[in-house]
Amino acid sequence: MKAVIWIFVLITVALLGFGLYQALVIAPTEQTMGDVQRIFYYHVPSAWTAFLLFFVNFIASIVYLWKRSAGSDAIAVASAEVGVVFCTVVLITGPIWARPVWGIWWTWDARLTTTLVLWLIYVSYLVLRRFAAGSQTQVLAAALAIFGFVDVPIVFMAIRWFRTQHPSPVIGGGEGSGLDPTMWHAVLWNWLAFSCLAGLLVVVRYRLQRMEETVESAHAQLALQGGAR
Amino acid sequence: MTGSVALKAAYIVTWVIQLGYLGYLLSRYRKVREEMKDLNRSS
Amino acid sequence: MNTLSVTRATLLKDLRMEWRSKDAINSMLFFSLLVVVIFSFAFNPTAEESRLIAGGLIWVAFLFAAVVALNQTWARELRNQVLDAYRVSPAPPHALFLAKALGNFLFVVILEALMAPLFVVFYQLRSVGPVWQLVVVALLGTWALVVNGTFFAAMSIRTRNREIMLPLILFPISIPALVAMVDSTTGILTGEASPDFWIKLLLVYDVIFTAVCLLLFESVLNAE
Repeated sequence: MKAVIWIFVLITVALLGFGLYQALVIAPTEQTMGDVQRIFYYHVPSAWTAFLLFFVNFIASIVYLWKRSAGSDAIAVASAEVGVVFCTVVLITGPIWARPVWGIWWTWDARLTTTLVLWLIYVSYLVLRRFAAGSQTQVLAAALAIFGFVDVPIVFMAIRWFRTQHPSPVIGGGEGSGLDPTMWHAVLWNWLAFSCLAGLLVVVRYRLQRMEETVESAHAQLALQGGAR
Repeated sequence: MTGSVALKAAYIVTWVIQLGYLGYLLSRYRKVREEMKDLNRSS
Repeated sequence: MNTLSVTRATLLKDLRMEWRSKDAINSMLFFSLLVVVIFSFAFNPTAEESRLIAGGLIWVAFLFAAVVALNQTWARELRNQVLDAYRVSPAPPHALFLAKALGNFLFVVILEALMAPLFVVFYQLRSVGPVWQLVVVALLGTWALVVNGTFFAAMSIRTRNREIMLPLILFPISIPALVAMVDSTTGILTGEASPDFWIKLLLVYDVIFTAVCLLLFESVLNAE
């Protein structure tokens, strides 16, 4: 088991390195924006990875409500947390890109705004997990996760319509702007690399969650035995 | 903020966040490991 | 003991208790009034400007007032161990939920009806678009807030800081509904945009989340 993990780590590092090479060297320089456009190759794959992680959280939460297994709950919290991390990367690289291109840090651009709402929803999930008392935490969190993910397409539609009603600058080009094929390579390789990184982080967070739960229940057991004596 | 400064900033920030999170996870991992060892010793 | 009779009985009980004490409606009314007055210090709009900002203002005031109502939804049940009694009774859980949600819906709608003339007076508000559209948006939007709010209130009573937890988990998920309410209200008041898409979105939101609430309420009620 340990060997598999280490091989996976090596593959991930190699992919991340190759992705970086694709993004900074292989991909051609964009005509209008210049080199700053290369942020795209980290900004977009991070967004796709975050979305994938939130989907995993959705499935794990449903499985938890159905099976009530500690494993599915641990996957749920792990994928939500790592998802929030990737989402944070999207929300920070977006403005860093917008600033030199548009002269403003934030534009309430449809995609960035949707990402912000997503971030808020899953941060509220993590906050609920921290402040819920005792054993109900997992059930309540799973319910909230389902609400959150079901909301995602509605959020997307709402903000997109709002933006067509009130147009503003769009980060990363509008719907029509196409990507040169070599640019797609950079996006896809980085997406693969980030997905592997996400997988690794989820595995670590999952094991951490299971171990912390074991320790907590062991402490509870000791307290009970201590009281009984 | 010029284009190339922004590019470097974005890539560096991404790595700071990811490695920072990984570091945070590993330090929690170490703590739990310690606690488990303590529990095993005392039980 | 079917759903309809349980829902009606619980709803009537809540309405009767509220009518006698008028706790919820009074605090909601006062809170909304405060929000309106405070905002009017920030803006001093002309009639034209007021139509532009009223949409956002109205819904912020109603949102905060709704949270006041939602926070006390389950308080009475918790105090008198009614929830435990409910768990062991054969009554269907979604009947209880429906009764609570309908009760909250009525309280907030009554508040909106009472506050509407005040908005007209304070902001010289006159709608360019048809008023019935405003009513549709208000009803759909209020249900959107109240249905999820009632559910999340049941979740947040099991947290360490329940009063702040409710808005914290409710607001992000309500964002699409809020955007719809605010933008459609502004569109109707200024007469510049059709609220059709927003009304459809609110309808979809209401149907989907009412279904999710009814499906999941039993798990939350029984969570120990």
